[in-house]
Amino acid sequence: METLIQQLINGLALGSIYALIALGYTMVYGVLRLINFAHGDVYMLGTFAGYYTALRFGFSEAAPSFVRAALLLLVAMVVCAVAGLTIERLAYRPVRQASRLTALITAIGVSLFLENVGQIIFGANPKFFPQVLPPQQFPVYGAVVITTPDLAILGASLILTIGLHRLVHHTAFGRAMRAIAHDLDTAKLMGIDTNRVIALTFAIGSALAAAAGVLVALRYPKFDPLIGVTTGLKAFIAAVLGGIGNVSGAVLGGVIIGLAETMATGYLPATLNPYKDAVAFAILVAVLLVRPTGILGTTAPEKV
Amino acid sequence: MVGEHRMSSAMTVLATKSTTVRFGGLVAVKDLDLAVQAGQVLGLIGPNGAGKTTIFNVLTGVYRPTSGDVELEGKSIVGLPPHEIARRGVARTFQNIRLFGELSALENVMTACHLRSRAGLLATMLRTARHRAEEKEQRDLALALLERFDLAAHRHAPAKSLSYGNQRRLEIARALAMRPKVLLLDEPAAGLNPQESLVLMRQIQQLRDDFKLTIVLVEHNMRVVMGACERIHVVEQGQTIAVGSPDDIQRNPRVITAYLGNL
Amino acid sequence: MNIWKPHLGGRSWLGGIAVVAGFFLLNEAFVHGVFGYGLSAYYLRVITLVGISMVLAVSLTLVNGCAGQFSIGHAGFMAVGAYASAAVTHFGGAPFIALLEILPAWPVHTLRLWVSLAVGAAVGGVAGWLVGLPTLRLRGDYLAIVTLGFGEIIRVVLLNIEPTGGALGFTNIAQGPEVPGRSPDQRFALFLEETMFFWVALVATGTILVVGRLAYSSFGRSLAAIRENEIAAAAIGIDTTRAKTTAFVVSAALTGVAGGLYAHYDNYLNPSSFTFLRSVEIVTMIVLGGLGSLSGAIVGAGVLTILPEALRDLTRLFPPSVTAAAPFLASLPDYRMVLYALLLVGLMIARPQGLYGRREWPWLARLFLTRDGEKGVG
Repeated sequence: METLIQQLINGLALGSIYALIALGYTMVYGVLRLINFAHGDVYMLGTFAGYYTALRFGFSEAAPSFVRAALLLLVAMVVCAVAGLTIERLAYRPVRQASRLTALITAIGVSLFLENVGQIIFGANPKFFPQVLPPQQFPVYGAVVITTPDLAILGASLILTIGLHRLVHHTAFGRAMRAIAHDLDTAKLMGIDTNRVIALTFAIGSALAAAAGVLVALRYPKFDPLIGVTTGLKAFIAAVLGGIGNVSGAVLGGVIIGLAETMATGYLPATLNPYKDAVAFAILVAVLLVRPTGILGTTAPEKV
Repeated sequence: MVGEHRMSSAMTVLATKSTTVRFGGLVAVKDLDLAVQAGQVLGLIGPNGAGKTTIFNVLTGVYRPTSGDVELEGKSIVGLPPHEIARRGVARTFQNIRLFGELSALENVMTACHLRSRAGLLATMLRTARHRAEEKEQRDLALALLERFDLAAHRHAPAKSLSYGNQRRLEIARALAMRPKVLLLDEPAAGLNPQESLVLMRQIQQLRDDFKLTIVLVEHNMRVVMGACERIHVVEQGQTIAVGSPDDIQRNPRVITAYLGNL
Repeated sequence: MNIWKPHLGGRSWLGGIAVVAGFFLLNEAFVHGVFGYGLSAYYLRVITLVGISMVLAVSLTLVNGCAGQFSIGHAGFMAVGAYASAAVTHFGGAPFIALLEILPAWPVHTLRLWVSLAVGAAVGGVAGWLVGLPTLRLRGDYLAIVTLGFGEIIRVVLLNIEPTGGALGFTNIAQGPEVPGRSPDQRFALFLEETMFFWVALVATGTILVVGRLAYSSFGRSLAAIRENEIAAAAIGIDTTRAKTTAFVVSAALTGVAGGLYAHYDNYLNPSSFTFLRSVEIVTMIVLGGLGSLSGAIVGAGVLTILPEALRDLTRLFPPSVTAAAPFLASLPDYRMVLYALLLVGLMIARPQGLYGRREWPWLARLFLTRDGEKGVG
C-alpha cells in the first residue's frame, strides 16, 4: 500500500513533467497542424538555460532557496520563449504554406540541429544540475514521503496549467488562438493577426517546456543534450493520447503516461520488465484503436 | 417532355422504407418513403436544410439510417459500406464537387473504370497481356466519356484546374464510368450560368436514355427540375410533404407555401 | 502536365538480361578491380547502402506518396524483415551446407540468400498486414503516430529476444551458430561479401519496377484517388481500406527485403539501427526527392545516404597548411550533423515540393508509360 502511494506520487510528478511538455505539442498542433519535433529539444535547452544561469550566479546546494529555484525557472522560460520565437520565425513560417510533410521534415531538421549544436556547444557528456531546492521531506502516509522537488514539480505545473487554461479560455489571445485552431484562413479574414498569435503560441509552449526542463532537473539532476529525444517523444505521445489539440487532454495524457511508466517500473514481473520502454507506445496504440482521436479528442466528421 | 416515362414498368429500383436519420437530438430525415422507378428521372426538392443531401448519403451508405430500410432492387443495402453500394450500381455526384484534384481529367474517369478490372496485383506487377488489355479498355472507355461531355480537349489537365462547369460535367462523366444503374445528382446546376443549366437540363434525360439509367436529382433550379423530371418528391424538415408529377407539384398548396412560395 | 499514358508495349527480355549482366560486370569490377584499378571498400559500401536506401525509399513511396497515408514506422518493418531473414540464414544453414557437397557453390548460395530474403519479405508483409489492418482507418497524423508506436515496440521486443543477440546485436549471421570445437563455415559469408552489390542492385531495380508498375496502373490510380479524396474514392466503388492495406502490405514486404539485404550485407544486426530516426530518415528521403515521384525517391535515397558521408570527408578538401592555419576546419566533421540539419531545413524552405515534385525522369517514365500522341490543352 505504501509503495503504491509512493509510486502514485512519483508517477504524478513525472506525469506533470510530460504534461507541461505535451501542452506545447498540443498548442502548436492546434494552430498549425504541425508535429513540432523540435519541441523536446527546446525542453533540453530549458534545462541548459537553467544550468548556466545557476553557474553564472553561483547557485548551488550550499545555499538552497525556493526563490533561487523560481528565478532559474523564470530565466529558462524567457530564454526558451525567445528560442521558440526564433525557430518559428526562421524555420516554420517559411514553410507554413507548404505541405504538412514538408513542415514536418523541417521540424525534424530543427530538432537534429538543436541536438547536434547542443552536443558541440554544451559537450556530449552528462552534466549535473545544482540541487538548489531545500532538501526536505514531508510525511504523507506511513513511510510515504513527498520531497521538495516533487512538491515544486506538482505545484509549479499546477499553477502553469491553470494559467494556460485561463489564457486560452478567458483572454482575447486565447480566443484568437482557438479561432486559428478552428480555421486559420477565416481567422485571418476576421482580422486576427495570425502571425503574431502563432508566434506567441510557440513562445508560450516553449516557455512551458523550459519550465519542465528545469523542474525535472531539480529532481533528476543528470542531463545531456539528448534528453529531449525520449522525453519529447513520450510527451508527444501523451498529447496524442489525450487528444492532440486539446489542452486538458495533454494534461490527462501526461499524467497517464507518467503513472503508467512508474507503475510499469514498479510492478511489471521481472520477465516483462525490459519491455517497460514500450509501455507508453502500447497504451497509445491501444487507445487510438478504440478512440481514433484520443481520449478527449473530438471527431469532426467530414461533411459530405 | 413531362409525364410518365415509357420504361417505368412500375419496377422500383431504389427505395427507402420509413427511414429515419438522427444526429444526436436532431432528426434530419423522418419516416421517409422514397421510391424510384426504373428508368425514371426523379426530382428530390425541398428548402435548404430539408435533408436532401442526407437522403443521398443514406442511399449511398455514407450514413447509416437510425431506423428503417434502404433497398436496391428489392434487397436491403443498410449497413453496406459505400464502395459496396457503388459496386452494386449506385453512382453519385457531390454538392461540393469532389474530384481527384491532382489527377488529370482522363485519370479521374479512368479511376472509376476499375470496377470491371479483373487483373490482380500480381498481373499488374508482371504486366500480363490481360492487364495491358484492361488498361487499354479503361482508357478507351474514359476517352469516349470525356468526348461525350466535351472534355476531351482537357483530358490531360489536372481536374482542379478545370472551370467550374467543366468540373461538374467531369464529375458526371466519372460517375458514368462505373456503368451504374442509378445516378444520384446532387445540385448539378449549382454554379452554372443559365445557358449551361439549359444544356444540362436537356442532357439529363438524354443521359438516362443513352446509358439506361435511373436518375435522382437534387436541385434548387426549378426550371431544371420541372424540365428534366418526370416525378418530384418534396421534403421539408426531413419529411415528405408531396409526391407527384411536376404539374401536380406546381399546383400543390403545401408545396407552394413551404417551398415555391419562398421564391 | 501529364502527357503520358500507360505503357502498353510488350516486355523486353533482352533489356532485362542486359541489366542483370551489367550489374554482374559492375560487381566484378567493383570487388576485384579492373586492370588493378578497384573501388575502395569504403566507396563500395556507400554505393551498396545507397541501393538499400533506394529499396526503402521507393517502397515507402507506395504508402506515403501514392496513397497519401503517412507511415513513420517503416524502420519497424525493416527490422522485422532483417531479423527474420537473418534468423533463417543463421539457424537454417544446414540443408544448404549439405547441398554444397553435391552441387556447385554459387547456385546453392544464391538459393540460400533468396530463401532468406523471401522470408524477410513474407514476415515484413505479415507485420504490415497486422499493423495496417486495424490502423489504416485512422487518418493522417494519427496513423503516423501509431506506426511510430509499432516501430518502437518492435525495436524494444528485438532488444529483448536472446537467440538473435538482444541488445548486443546479432553477430555472425552468415556463419551460423557457434559449435564448440568446430571452426565456423565461412563460405556463405565470403560469397555474400563478394556479391552483395550485385544483389542489392538487382533488388533495387526490381523494387523500382514493381512499385512503378503498381503506381502507374489501375491500382495506383485507386491509391491516388484515395489520396485526393477518400469519400469520392469510396463513392466510385474503391474499397479504400482494402486498397490502403494492400499498399501497406506490399510496401512493408519490400521494406522487409531491404532489411534482409542490410542484414546479409553487414552480417550483423543491432536493434539500435532501427530507431524511430531511421523511419524519419526514410520519410525524409522521399519528401526531399518529391513525394510520389519515383525519381525523387531514388535521388532522395542517394542524397541522404551520401550526404552524411560526404560531410565526413569535408576536411580532406583542405590541404594541411590550411587546416593548420584555421584549426576549426579540422573539426568540421564534428559539425557535419549540424550542416546536415541545416541543409535539410534549407532545402525544405527553398523547395517545399521536393527536388522533383511529382515528376519523373522521362527515361524512367517510359518504363511505365508511353508518350501520348498529342498534347493536352488546359
